[in-house]
Amino acid sequence: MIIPRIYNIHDQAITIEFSQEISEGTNLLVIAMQHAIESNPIKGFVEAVPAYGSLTVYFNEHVSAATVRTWLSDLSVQVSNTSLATEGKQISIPVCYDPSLGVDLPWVAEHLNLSMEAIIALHTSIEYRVYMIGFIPGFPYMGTLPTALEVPRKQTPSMKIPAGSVAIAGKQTGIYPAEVPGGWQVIGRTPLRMFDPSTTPCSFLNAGDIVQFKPITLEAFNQYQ
Amino acid sequence: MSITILKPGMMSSLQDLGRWGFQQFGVPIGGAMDKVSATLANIICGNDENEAVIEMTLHGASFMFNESACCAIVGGGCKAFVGDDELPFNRLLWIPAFSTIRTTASAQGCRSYLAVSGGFKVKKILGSASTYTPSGIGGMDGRNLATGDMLSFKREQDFQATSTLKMLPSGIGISHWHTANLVSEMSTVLIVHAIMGPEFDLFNSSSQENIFNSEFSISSQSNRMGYRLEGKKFALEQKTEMVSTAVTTGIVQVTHEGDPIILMADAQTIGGYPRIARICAADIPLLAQTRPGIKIKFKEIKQEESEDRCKELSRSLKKLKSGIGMPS
Repeated sequence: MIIPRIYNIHDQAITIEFSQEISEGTNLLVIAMQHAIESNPIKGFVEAVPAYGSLTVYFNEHVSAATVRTWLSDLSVQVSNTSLATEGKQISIPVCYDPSLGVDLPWVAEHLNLSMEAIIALHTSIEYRVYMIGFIPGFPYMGTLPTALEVPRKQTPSMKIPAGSVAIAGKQTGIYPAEVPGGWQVIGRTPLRMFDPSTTPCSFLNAGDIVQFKPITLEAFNQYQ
Repeated sequence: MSITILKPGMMSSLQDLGRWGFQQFGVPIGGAMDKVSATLANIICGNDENEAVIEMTLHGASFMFNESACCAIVGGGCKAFVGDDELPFNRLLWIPAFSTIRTTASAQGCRSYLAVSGGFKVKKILGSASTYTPSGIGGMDGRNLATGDMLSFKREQDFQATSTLKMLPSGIGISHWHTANLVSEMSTVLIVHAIMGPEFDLFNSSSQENIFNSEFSISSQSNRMGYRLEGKKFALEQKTEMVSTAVTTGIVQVTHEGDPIILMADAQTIGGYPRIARICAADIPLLAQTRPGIKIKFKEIKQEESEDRCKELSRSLKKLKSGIGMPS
């Protein structure tokens, strides 16, 4: 079993870190731990934030840091001993890979020495795990990308990446929920809205969800608008 | 009742004590940079501590009071006037209808907070009135305040509140009592208490030594997300790519270029840079009152001392609350 590292990142926030690697097994443990905490929270618990291999718990003045540390440590033993079933939703996300939207697709194709069709086929060939949501509201970090699709980040980040852009970098793939500067290679765009504060939950995807991309034509993409 | 923004200054926005519970969806806590001053302004006005206030940056902003109302200004960076009368900070103020509050730069501090008795009517997004401009949520349509914006009050003024005020010939009322001022306690080199960060051990020995022994200056490239520090460069003993994990206000992370950045109110929820230190949460308000060019130094403390400092701050805030309205 993994001996987690437990440390403060704030006087009222403690991280329990299971691993410094991106692995599905560890992330399953992180999400299981989050569910265990949320279903039976300690007094003073505020919120839990999952990342690849760690979970961070925010708390208030109604509980001491020492109590939270012990609680997390005990809970991690219990959670490690139970079976870790995936509880995430299965979600299909339509993506238009037309180079007018996936503006970096030609560069990626040239860099990888593959045809654009081959890249689309590879990107849509497998299911991805949503490891965490972060960077900006609603941005899903997903993996693991087929090795043949691994590309570096841009040397100079783009000033504006449009909302809905589906991008890749290293072993990861993600979706930009809003127009922001960014360094990942954009290969397509989804018409779905990734972040909407008026809906519950506000993020379309959740850590632990399983995603598969479905290619759509430019016409189909435009009909979504 | 309402006020109208005549000039928003360099940056003014509506903020409360933050947006809690949505970090797992990537939504930062945000809220007032100096949550102590924002809280004080509300306490003085008799509001709930989490009521939305206007956060002004450096030289401030100007407002027209469309009706007579009570308000308070707390923080630093500017001086406020109605006509020739200077409005003292940290006191309850009565502003007559159609008065204009204007501000000028002051030597100390960086952010001032205007609260009105009764509170501003602001639509809460994800449980908070705080403006978070990168996602365009909260406050005034998700953006900073602009000329012509009108902010209505939640409830009508309780006129009795003015009975304990000293009235100036101009019709402005000022409370006899006042609360302590955080900003006046600032020195030339600000000492900030900090604890070793989660990746402290991964830094080379000169970095480990320099973080608590050298002086930094706050760069002009600083904003609500973070303060960039100028001074010594920092490096890891061995170059390693970190797996992203949660970060929050007070974390001192080091970029690939070796520059430390202190994460502030609008810090993103997840980060991938090594964290050499973290600031004691009780010192964040003080840091929020430092402006670009100010020198700071980190004083190393242990976790226990950091927790004690936080408890002390919350005790003094409680004491202040019970003392409000008492003559000074």
